[in-house]
Amino acid sequence: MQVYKLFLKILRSQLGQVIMYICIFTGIINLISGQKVEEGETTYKAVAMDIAIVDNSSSVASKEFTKYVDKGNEIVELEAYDSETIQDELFNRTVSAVIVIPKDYENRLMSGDTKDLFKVYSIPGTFNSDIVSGIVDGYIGNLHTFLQSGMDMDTALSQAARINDIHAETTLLDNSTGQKGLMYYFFSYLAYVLICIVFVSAISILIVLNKETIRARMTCSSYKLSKISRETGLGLATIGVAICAVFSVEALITIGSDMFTVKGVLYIANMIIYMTISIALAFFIGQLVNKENLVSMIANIIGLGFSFLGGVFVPLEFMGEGIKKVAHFLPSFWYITACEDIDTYTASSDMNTILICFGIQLIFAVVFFTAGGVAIKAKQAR
Amino acid sequence: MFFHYFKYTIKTMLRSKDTMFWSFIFPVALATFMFASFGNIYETTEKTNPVPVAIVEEETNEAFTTVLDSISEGDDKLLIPTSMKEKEATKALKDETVDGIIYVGTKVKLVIREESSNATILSMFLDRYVQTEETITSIMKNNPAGVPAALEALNEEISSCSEANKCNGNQDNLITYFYAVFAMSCLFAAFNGVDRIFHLQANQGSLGQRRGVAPTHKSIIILAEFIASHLLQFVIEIITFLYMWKVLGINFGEKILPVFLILYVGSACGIALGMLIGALPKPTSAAGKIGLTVSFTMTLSVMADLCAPGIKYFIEHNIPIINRINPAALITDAFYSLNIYDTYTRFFQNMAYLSVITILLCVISYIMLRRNRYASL
Repeated sequence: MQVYKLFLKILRSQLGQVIMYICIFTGIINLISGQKVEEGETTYKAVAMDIAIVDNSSSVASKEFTKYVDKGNEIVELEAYDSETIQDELFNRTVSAVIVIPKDYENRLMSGDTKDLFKVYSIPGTFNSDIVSGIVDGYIGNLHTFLQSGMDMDTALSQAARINDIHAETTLLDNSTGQKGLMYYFFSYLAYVLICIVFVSAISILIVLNKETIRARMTCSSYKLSKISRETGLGLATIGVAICAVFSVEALITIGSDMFTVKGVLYIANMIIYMTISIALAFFIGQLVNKENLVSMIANIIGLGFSFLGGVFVPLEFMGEGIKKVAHFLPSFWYITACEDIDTYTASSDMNTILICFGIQLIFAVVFFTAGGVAIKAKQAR
Repeated sequence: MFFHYFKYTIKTMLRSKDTMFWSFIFPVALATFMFASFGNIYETTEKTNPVPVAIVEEETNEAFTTVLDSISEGDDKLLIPTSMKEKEATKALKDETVDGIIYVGTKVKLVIREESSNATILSMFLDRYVQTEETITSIMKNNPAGVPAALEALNEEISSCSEANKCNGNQDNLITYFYAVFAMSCLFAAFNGVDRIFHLQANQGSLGQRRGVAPTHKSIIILAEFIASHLLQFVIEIITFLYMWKVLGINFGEKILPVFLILYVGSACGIALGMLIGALPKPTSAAGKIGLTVSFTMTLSVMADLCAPGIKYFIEHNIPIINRINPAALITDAFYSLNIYDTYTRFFQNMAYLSVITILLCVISYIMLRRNRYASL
């Protein structure tokens, strides 16, 4: 198996780059898992805001206001409260809003002057800004009503605190918060890494095997063309199997026993199908490219293009309609769609949508393999 | 001889596919992909739009209907309600045509599909309604005399927040990705710098040997090649910027002219960095030097938010000195300060740091290269 041995020899020289990509992926997944991605939450929770409060009043009323805001939100302390620091914190989204309570807060409440009571620093026209305004206006509205009805400040504050604990009944449709778990993120980011690893390893090897002098020597030898093709195919399959095995083990270590569920099996199947596409694409491009320095360029362009446009780095729901239409022509789109369907899969779900995505991905693989075969025939004819 | 080296540096660079790819095509492609995938995110996830909601009327509730009508009208309406039967509403919720279902009866209930900002706005609206109901009930029970004043207070529009943020710049924080693309593109000029110095060294090839024995002073060669590389890289950066600004329509704020200064100094810094790497005694091979350049420039760019936002912020709050010496961080911060701040203080600070780093890199490279002697070639 001379060609196969040569294949593995060249692969060994590319191991450094392969390991680099595996390490980058592992680092990213560790970062994500460190942010405690929670799966399986079934009770609704309103989006919590990060709010900084500057209390210039230090009165009972202002402390009650701060206590109210703290319920269901996070009160954050800033390093400084100058306009530059506030602007930086707002831009970096470390704080949703900074609320400044005026010195005469209590007096203005008593007199019923609630217009522009607080100075609020936020990003206007955004959800966060509207939610913060809603939180504040809701509290002040109730407190103002109690005060206007003739209650004293202490009674009004305690009534407002009681009222603000009352919430309308809110339930989730399918007892799922819609938050994606670690399994989803693990396998979705894998799409980028798989393409890069396969390209830097497989295409580099194919470039060597397709070199004119080496190709001519192999053709002159007693090795049949079919045997060369078989051993090259075996080499490509070895790359695929090895990389899938590595990431399956990594999934087991990172995610744990959840991999032994139907979801886990479906994710692995999806990964194997996408690996097949990557190898098919590498096989096709390997017939067209003859320079080593082009490999990195092509790997990055295709890897990043597929990932950005296919919904790997940015969820599909945030992309424009035109881009989503274009994305349908990319295999990564169908890989991510399958990941999303698998993520919401339950025992009572219909598996057809997942199988359709698998089928379309396999069609892509067949097309790329066929294109590679056509490229070989065209070169031979020349 | 200065113009001779200048002319041939330009010609060589234009014919070098590798240099053209990494300095120009790759940043343009990356910016295009980024724009395609998250150019719309700010509109869909952060900007407020009226929330579509299905209304399923189980029993008549005139009070709630009145309140619902009042917030569904006008330019600043909060909700877009549509009356539906329960089955239809559930299907609409699953198909993501609506973001929630409000069941109207003696009690109001909300069903949502997932936790989201729209769901929070719906739940806040319903919370406000039930809390107002409870407020009036409580006042009627404890202080009936205060009811008329309370009702009058309820009819007032409460607007207790006054927006104090007067910034006119682009507040979409994903713009930092595009700043980082520029930083990466400027630093990728280092490939060119490495190439220039590599071909100047007599122990790296025949071209370096010929230049070593040429009568032209090395400083003239380095200066001519530096200026030529810088000029070409600066033109590439301008084209990239014009593509992102005019073709992709990315909002870089109102101050555009100073952006060219950032690109000018950034390109110079990238080339100077490449010259230093090229002048290092190790690694000796071209591939080794390119590998070092790629890993170093990518690391600097990642630390300036190329791959994920928040890394530069984290460094600023823990080890700020790194952001002062990282050229990529200085470039992105210069873009940011132009966009967000009214004054130029921070911008000129960043430009000053970047210029000092560039000069330092050039001086160190020159000191390392001058008077090189070879025992044998």
